[in-house]
Amino acid sequence: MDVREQAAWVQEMVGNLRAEIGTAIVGHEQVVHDVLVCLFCDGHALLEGVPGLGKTTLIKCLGQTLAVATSRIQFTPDLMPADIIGTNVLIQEETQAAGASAEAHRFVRFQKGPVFSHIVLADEINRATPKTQSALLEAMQEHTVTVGGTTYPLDPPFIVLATQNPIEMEGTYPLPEAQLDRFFFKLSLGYPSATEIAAIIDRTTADPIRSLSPVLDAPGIARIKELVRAVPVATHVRDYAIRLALATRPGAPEATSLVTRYVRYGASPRGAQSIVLAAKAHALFAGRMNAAFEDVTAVCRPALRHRVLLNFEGEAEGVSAEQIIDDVVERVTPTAS
Amino acid sequence: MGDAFSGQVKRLVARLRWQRAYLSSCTGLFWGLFPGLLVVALDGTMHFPFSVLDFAILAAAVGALAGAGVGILRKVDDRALLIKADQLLAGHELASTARELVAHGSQAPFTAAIVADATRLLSRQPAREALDKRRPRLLPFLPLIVALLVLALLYPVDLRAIFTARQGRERELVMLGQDLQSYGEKLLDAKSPDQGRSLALSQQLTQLGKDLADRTLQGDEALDRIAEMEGMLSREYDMRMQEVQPSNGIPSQTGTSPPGSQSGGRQSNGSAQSQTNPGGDTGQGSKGSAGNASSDALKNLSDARDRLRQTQRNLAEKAPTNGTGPTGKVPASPGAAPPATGDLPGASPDADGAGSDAAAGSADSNAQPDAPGSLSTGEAPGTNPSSSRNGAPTSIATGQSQAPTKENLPSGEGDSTRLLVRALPDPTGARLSDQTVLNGYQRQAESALAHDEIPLGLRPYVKDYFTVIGMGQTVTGQ
Repeated sequence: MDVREQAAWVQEMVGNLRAEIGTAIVGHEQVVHDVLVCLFCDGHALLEGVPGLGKTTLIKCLGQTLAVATSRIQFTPDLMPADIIGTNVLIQEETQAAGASAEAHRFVRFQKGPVFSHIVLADEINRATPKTQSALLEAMQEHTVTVGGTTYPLDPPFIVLATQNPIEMEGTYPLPEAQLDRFFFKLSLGYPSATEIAAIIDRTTADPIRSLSPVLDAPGIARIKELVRAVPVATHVRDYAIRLALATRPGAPEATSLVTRYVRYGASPRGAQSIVLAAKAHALFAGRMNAAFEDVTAVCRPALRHRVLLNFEGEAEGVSAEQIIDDVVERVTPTAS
Repeated sequence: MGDAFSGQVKRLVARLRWQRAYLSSCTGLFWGLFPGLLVVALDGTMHFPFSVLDFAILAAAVGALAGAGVGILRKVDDRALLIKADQLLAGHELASTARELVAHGSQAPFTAAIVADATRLLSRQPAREALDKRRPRLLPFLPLIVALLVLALLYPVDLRAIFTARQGRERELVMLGQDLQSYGEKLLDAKSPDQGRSLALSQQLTQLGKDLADRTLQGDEALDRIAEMEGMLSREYDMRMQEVQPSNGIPSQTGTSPPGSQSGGRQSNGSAQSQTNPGGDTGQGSKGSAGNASSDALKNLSDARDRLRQTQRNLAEKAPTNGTGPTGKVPASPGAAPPATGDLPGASPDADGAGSDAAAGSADSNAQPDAPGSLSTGEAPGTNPSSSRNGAPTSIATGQSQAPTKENLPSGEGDSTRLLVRALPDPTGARLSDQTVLNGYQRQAESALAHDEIPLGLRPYVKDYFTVIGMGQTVTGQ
């Protein structure tokens, strides 16, 4: 298949996925798009929104359309790491040879946890203890799980889609920065409009929800991931992403006044990586074979939102990370380098 | 594929060079107009030995060419150019990405497709659309510069007069000082009936000349001293004349031209002509020793006084046109009229003032109405100022051996005829009568006013100038 055809195929597949998901999810087109970006960039997404906005439904729909294994982990304070990654269990098997008495064989077997899946829904991840939360670290970063000195690889594609509720902070354990940084995107779901609510009601209160048709399988996902990484990025586009990331750091020469005043920590190199990779996917989704400035700008918010940590003054004055990022995007010009 | 893309980039670079050449030439043209404008504006002052208009055109052309050269030769960053082209063509960084892929010899899957798309992008769009189509930044100011240039051409400002007036006045005073010292010595040498008075006057004259020559006396003080000395000389001259008249009867018979005998040009040595004054003496009167002494003294007094008046007039002429300030003083006395310039021993200083003195109702001129050998542009017997103005030819005696040259010149007042008086050769140097010179100045000024060569703001000063110095009265003999 010609590269042009491949690019067109990617665009078509993404369109089909969005359309199929759109039959079940009303609105949230941008969130769906960004989740797909995470999927094809081999990244993980943290979805944040108040209850009832369809976070879990969205992820379920994604699993149905992709025809890959999905699992759901409901994070609770008593959830243990073994409940996520699995544990070694003692297995006793009785074997009886011919003319002999039965013998009992005991051995330890690794019982895979729900993390051994292609799409892992970590629902309300901030309700689990940090110990449990950190159980996902290796899986998210290395795509492996180590139990009892044995490392088990996770089958690709592997994507963790975590959700958290921003308003119910009682009894929660906010994700540490190290954990947050491992999420490719942080997506924020807003309230639907009246029209969207009407559509939601119409779809959910009449006929039973039909299951979605699979659009893409695991090999297709892998192929798209390869193509995304093959998208070239010009040096000036790459430098623009770097300057954007640097501009979120207080004390950096590129830092804006808002960053200097309200930001405690800026984006890590992972932030710049996320921006560039996501820009590639964004360009390919648009049918283009190279990343442009506009792709970088488009993915800047979800890629940096959870990597910009506000200081006390910023928190006290109610400044949001999105405001900081928007200011950075506005002030850092693409062609300055 | 890479070659095609490189070809498109080269074409784009060439187009950018021409675009830059155009913009830079406009900038160069703009700045090139400034020296031209400057030269045109200063032409009235500097009197450049070349055509200022040609210079202005040449400067503008040189500026434009230099700008074009700079625009063409300036280094073109093709990377920046393609980034700019991407922005202008909404190319989504396609061309700039393709450039990097080609430059690095990338073998990535999308390389060929991107380069092909970029080539198509650059070839599909006209190259000029990929470039900045902005106008030259200085273009809006171009009409202003052109307007200034035209104004400077139409109304050149004579700055030289402003810069050189002071220097000219100082030089005039120094020359006057030297002349006064000479007159003082001559006055001392001349045999005068009253040696004491002559000595005192001579010393004052010499001292004034010395002060002026040494530049210890300048400005208002110099003018005051000059006016004072001129008055003293006039009084001394009148006294001498009164002394001479009783003893000789008719003064003209002593060999000196009586007052009113001439007012035109300075005459050469010799007697004044009598052709215009039938009733006057022809200058062939007897010359006794006493008469000679008196004549020499009178002549010296007359010369010195005339020289002072001349200087006062010159200073007034060189003064700023507003007529104020120390150098703007104009001789207030009727003696400010053209001085007697004749070297004729008998030339009467009063005669030269007859034109103006008579015009002002001077008693001197009235006292000698029929002086022999009289010479006047408007006062001499047989001449009528009004008739002169109305077209009647004015008889002027300009010398002994040379008849006056007459030319019929249109004066712009009907059929009137104006005589052009030319002075006789003078052994001490060519000189023209003040009347002639000032008439010439007036004609020049009128011509300049008529041809709009004088800026609007300065025209009233030019018009008033001749009125202020009384030239109109002198010419018309009123």
